[in-house]
Amino acid sequence: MYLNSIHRDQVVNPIWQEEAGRLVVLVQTIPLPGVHSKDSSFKGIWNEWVAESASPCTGDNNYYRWGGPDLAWNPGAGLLSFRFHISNAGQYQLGVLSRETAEEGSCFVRIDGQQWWILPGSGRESWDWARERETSPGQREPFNMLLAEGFHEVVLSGRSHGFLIDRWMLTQNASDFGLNSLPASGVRPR
Amino acid sequence: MSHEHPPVFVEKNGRVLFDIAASPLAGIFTPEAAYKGIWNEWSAETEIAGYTGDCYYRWAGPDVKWNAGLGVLTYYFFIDEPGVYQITMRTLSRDGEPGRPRANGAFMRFNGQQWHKVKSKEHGEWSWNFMYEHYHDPSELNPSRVPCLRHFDHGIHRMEISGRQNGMILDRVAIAQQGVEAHNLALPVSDSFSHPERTLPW
Repeated sequence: MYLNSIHRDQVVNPIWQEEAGRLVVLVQTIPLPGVHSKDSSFKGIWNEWVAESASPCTGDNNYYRWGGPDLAWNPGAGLLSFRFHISNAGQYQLGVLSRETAEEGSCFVRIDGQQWWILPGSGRESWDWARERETSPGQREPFNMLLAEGFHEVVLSGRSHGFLIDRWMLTQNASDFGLNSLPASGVRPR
Repeated sequence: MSHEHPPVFVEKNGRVLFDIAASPLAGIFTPEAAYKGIWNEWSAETEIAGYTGDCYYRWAGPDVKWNAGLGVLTYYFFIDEPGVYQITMRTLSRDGEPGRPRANGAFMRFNGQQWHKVKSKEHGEWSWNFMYEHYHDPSELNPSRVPCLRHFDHGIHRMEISGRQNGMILDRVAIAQQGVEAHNLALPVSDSFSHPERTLPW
């Protein structure tokens, strides 16, 4: 079953454009509202993602570290929302280039406002593509979906303290996950 | 699970009233149910007498002092007469007791704007005492808490509540112009109509 696209009027900039069955988005392109602190939260900065560059994936870009608490069963904190446009409808696999800093690490992901999924990391000592969702404790499956032509949204949410994320990708070609430095997709012109 | 066309409660004579259960829960949370999409850790309960509707909601999730956005409950209301309204919530709050951490707060926001921390300063009994906390200074006696006053234009508005402290209990919401009676438990909830547009979860 295809995920339906959302209304154009409900989409705001930026909107990334899929091309040739692939979409790559750097998480740092969604700026954080500021540096979280107890005091700044009263001014509306509740987002506990931290922009860092100490252990870069590709050398020149920041990544985000979840500086909030472990939230085993509670998605919704530190939302990072990315809108994009699909021109080539079909089956895609989602992956998040990530790195675990603890025994286990993961984040939450959902597509087009549907249910949240746990996306476990797959790299403790190095950056790697997390591209499976957890379907029950210890059970995973490829994070595949059918996407209709039109506008869609991926939302990431913090789960494991210290989990690092660099970029996410939707691709029709699983061999893309062998590459960590695929260039970011372009933004759709208004 | 959110309604696609949720109820919009209508302000009349300077007052909107609705029960917390007007935002339905997707089901009973368990770690197993989470994998089927039931992440919301509000628990609909009736064990404690004195609630006004069919049940009250208790935040059964973790303490998340600085992380708004968990277990979001969404409500819509229509303001006919624009002006300044005070938002109050009927709650059952718990002060810090030995072995039982404090549970007196939640997060609240309107129309997708910034989250605010809201707290009660009356504990152990149902009360309508609910205020913004705009900063925190434990050396003072609740100096940072101010009434939740907000100007609403004519039209439909969205209110969201998010869990903060395990054990906090919410029962009813009142949005009323100052001087308008809103806390009389004999008052019925406001009339409502279905939201004219399909609402999306973001």
